[in-house]
Amino acid sequence: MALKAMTGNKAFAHGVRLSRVQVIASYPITPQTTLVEYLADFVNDGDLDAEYIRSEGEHGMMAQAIGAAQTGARTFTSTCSAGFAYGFQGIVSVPGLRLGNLMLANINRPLGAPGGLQADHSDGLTARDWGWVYLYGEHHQEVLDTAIQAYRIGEDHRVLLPTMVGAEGYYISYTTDLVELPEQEQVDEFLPPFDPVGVIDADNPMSPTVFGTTEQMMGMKYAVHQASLRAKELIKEVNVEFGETFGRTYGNGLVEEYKVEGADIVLVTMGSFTGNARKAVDDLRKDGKRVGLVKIRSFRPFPTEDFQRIAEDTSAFVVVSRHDSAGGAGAPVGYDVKSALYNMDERPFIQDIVSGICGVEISSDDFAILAERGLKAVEHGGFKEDLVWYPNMRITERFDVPPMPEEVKKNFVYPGTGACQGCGMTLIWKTVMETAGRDSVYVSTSGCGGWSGAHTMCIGTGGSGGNLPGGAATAVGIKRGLVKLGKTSTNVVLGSGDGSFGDMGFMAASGAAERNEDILMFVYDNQAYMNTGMQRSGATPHLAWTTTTPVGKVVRGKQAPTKPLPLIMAAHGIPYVATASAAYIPDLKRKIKKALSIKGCKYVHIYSPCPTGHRYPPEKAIEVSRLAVQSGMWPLYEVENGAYRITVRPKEFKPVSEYLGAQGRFRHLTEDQLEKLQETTQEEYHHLELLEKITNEDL
Amino acid sequence: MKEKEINMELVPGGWVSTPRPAQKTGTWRTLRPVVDVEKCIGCGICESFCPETTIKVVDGKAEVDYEYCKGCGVCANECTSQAIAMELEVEEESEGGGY
Repeated sequence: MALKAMTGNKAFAHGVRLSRVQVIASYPITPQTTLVEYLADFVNDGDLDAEYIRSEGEHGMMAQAIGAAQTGARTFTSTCSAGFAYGFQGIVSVPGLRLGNLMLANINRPLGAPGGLQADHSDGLTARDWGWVYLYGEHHQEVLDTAIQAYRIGEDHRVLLPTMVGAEGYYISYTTDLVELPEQEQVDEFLPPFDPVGVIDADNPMSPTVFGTTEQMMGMKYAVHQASLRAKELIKEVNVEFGETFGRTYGNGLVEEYKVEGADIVLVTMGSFTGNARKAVDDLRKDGKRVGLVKIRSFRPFPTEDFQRIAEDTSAFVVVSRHDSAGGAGAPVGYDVKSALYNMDERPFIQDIVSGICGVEISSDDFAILAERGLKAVEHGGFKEDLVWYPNMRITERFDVPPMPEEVKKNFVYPGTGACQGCGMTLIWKTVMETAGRDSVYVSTSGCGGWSGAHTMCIGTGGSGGNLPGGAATAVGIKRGLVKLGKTSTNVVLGSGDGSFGDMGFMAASGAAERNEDILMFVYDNQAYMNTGMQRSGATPHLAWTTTTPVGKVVRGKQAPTKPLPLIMAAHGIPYVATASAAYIPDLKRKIKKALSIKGCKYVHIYSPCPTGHRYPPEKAIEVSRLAVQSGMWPLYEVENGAYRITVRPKEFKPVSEYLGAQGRFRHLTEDQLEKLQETTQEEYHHLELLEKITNEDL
Repeated sequence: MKEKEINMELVPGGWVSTPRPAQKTGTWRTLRPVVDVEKCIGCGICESFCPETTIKVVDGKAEVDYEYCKGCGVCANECTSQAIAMELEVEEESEGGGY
């Protein structure tokens, strides 16, 4: 069998494809995103026959996955970090619903603030207690193989629990390694179709119980607990069978032991840094130091019996957790190791190490240092400290924040953002905030705006970073707080991307509009989730190429039309709504000024050129934006107290093909499609003119 | 083997009052905007469209902040007086590895 070089996310995607997954629920979040992009490629090319749901957020994504799994379809979903937290309501329900045909890929990344993009186990470990079978992969091949094993384990009637497969961001997701791709026939033989216990089916009506008597609910919880314990045998059994079919096994399935025999101290790891720990063991063994290693492959169910067995012959465990439990008696992985061993007659010493937090590297030298400390502790009769952080932390806190220097206040936006060359968003920031003035605060959301700088790096008015679904809500909270503190004049300005505002954050935005909260919300609309690498959003134009609406052999581009956000916001009846463009700066400035002169909820929807995602050279950013307006595809208008007014009316409309043809994302369009888009554009413009007419007439 | 350490003073929550540019983005540039002061009429179109606030009209002429200019070329493309040329970035006094 040939070895192929591929990234960890691609290896995972192949595992999903080979498992003949039938429904995929997806939403972008780094560093998970390329996994669902590869799956979109498989589906659009006809290589995987699956329903592919391009979700509006992880909360919906989890509900979609649950719904699909309840029909009996083999279901896959994938997320990490904040997405994991946003989907948590669904995540905690899946085990109790006993949806063993649902697998979740957790491409591990830090959760919460302070955050980061690199590897950390804080996301997945928060789902420790619900009954997920949680397996961690150390490397690309293991991740692929575990994805296939996962459905075998979860779908078995002895278990019927969902599986989560952890693979660390960057170390696994984005690095390239050699992988052996199993043959489809072999996988089919290894993984038979799912035989569900209950399904949602009109021909055979039934429903799952979510609420019942207290005794029934406790009974169902106990059944999950028992099933999780039974999964231990399944994981071992499947590991052996997998080895018989594919020639690879991973320890006993639950743990992988390395040079544990005769070891005085044993390092305990989970995930990709195990490789570094293994090298440390080799190095120390060469020096005659008796050090071993246990890699936890199954965090849930926890391999209690294996640890008890290994503990018989070792003097100390050094347990590394890539997550903290602030104020706790130990660290998250160590909790389980200690609990497993407490009732033994003779216990080894155990030290909890919190390390690798927020992506900090743990090298083989670091593992060697930790192991040496363990050897010393054995000599001296125990560890001085039960729990330590590594690297050694020397952190002091100070409690004064000097005021912003007057010199700095001269500018509203500073250069040096992480935004791409020719980005419209930074231009929009500058224009909006200069117009808003110094009595303003800025709220950003995750996405290009959050990550490429925003308030702490480049926006000189201070402000906060709202989360992806809660940008508008954060702005509302800030406004209400300021009002209560007597700072009523301060403009609270939300700058959000189209995806965060219009898809995931729409509930908060619509709520703010319905209550007519006194804030200005603007969207820099680059027409996709550009920060995570150009995935489609609700605002993506009809037929556009994105990485989740690829131009495949079977399906080409985005099939759904654009979500008309300005019209939807206007329908809330808020006092001011406008569209604007980065190519029409005076028009934009005038609209921001007018918006801020009005009390109540204001919304300005701004076309933001994205050379990277729209596929054209950066110098064309403004030129292409202008074409959007001149072709009628991006009409500039405002809605003041319900009255529509077109503010920039092209004297002569340019053909839409001129605008679309300037961008690589529309390169695949056929003549027929261009003609149809020309018609739709004219119809929509005419519709706007009619709105302008009827809302300004005395009826 | 040296033990690693993270040694720093922090404000709880990381509050800051001075923007901290992420990086000196001038290093991204492969093309450099060069202003022809003879042609520049100081109209400010370049300044109004610059995505990075790195071109400004000072004393009636456009000036580029090369420390941060990413070299996108929007200013040159939008200039109605054709006063800005995008020229290939050449590393001065290159010690090898330059253009």
